[in-house]
Amino acid sequence: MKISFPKYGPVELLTRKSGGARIISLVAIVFFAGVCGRYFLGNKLWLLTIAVLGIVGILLCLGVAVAIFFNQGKINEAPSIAVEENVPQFIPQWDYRPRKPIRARAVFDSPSIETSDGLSSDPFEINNNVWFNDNSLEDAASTFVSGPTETEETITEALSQTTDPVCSGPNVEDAAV
Amino acid sequence: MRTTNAFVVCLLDDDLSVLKGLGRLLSSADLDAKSFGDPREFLGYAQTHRPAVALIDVCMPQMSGLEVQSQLAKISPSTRVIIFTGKDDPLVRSTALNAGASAFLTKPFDDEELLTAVRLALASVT
Repeated sequence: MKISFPKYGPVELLTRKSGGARIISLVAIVFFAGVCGRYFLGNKLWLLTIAVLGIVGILLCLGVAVAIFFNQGKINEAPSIAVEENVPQFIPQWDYRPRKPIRARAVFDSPSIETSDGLSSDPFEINNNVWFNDNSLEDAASTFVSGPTETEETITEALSQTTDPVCSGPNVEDAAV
Repeated sequence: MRTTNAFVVCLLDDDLSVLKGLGRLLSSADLDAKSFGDPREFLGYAQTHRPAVALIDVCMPQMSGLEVQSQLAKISPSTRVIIFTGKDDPLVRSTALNAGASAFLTKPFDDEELLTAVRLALASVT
């Protein structure tokens, strides 16, 4: 896996700074409201308390609305290429793509014929890192050729026939018949 | 997670993290997986339980995967063997497949590749 890390430019740093300023301003507003509220409540100025709390509430709502508006605008305006460049990307070095369909092939007459040299023609190969043995998969492959659904049904049917958790499947010779 | 699958798929690898990952993968596919880190322990289990499929790593300190495959063929001929390894050696691959391995996988392999190999092996058992 290749992981490319983002390189923050001045724009991203400014964005972070503005985000920090917003948080600081919000904290300041809340702090100011708390101080004023305490003072007004201490002097029993109920109407002023209510007025200040209302103003602070309105300011907070406006701030949140403005922040949401600007963030939405940034998302819409942000070019996708820039996002892809700045976000950590997980790039798999290999990806499973069945280059060739699984085919049923003729059973090898003599396994001893198969050598490391013979494998260069890849009689077993399905893709780069998976090799199947036709000798043992002849029956299964024939069902896979006709479609995965049938194979699933075959497997499901076969599995449903056995309830014993200890496998006591038939021998290879039986399966071949 | 309780599986309803009657077929046991044995995992043999000296790397516990691989065993854990493969065990989870097989469990997620509703397959009953049993993990072994010791080849002798696995062979003992295979002799008595005869698992349907065995996934065996080639490189293990106690015993090589090919040796385990050879012994497994004697004590449990019905068990389908899937060999996996991190080193793609054509000679090892040829030996494993000629000895009757259902599939030979080189790491890293995809989840679907492994599950396909296991399902094919299970289908060939039945």
